Amino acid sequence: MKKITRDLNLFVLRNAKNSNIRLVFFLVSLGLFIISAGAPDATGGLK
Amino acid sequence: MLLLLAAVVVGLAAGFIRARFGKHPYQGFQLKKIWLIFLAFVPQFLIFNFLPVSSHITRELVSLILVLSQLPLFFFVWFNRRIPAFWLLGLGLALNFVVIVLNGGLMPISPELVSRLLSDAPPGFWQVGERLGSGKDVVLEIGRTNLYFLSDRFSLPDWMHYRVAFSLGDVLIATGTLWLLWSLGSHSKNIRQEEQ
Repeated sequence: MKKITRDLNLFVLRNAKNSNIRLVFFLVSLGLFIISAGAPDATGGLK
Repeated sequence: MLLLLAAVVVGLAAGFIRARFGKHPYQGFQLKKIWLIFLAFVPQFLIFNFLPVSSHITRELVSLILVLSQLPLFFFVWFNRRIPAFWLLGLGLALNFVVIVLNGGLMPISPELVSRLLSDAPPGFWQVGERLGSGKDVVLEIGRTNLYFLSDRFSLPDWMHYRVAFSLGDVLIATGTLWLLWSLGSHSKNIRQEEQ
């Protein structure tokens, strides 16, 4: 997992100059962080 | 989750506007040790969202995995502490972690709040002392909840017609997210130069 994310990170850095890939990668990472760190809603799967 | 989603949408919009007015590019920070996030996310995804696993796993194992999966996030926050908003994200993470650990490995929620949020739930869908559905919450009486003020005790006003409960930790995580996305629109060369 460490190697996969490191390779992905290197890919993003290489391609960051001409695109918004770096921003998208950042936002995806942040999204996964807040999903994992934050407690979810209380509907318990009802919705 | 609505709270966190709202923070992302508002933070992104505010950050974009800030960048546009300041004539700066809207750029993400180079985060360190991103693999730690996946180390937390993957097990949580499996036990909460992946049916073949989530439908067969015991409550004790869910609690254990939830608690252990939070640990890589603390390291991730520490490695990225040069970004100011991560201090707030870390504090929110810590508050959620403490109340979860002190209440048996799940986030406590009161029966009163569950009754209000799930007024149309089928009989027996939830019980005091049991895990709430397939989520991270456990229904506990207020008097039996350790650090109740850190539990899932807040909800949105009824007129918003969205059933959700959230904790003080969630509020801090949402605020930290908003701050982080806002800061992407600034001219913070010092941090980005460090990354080069």
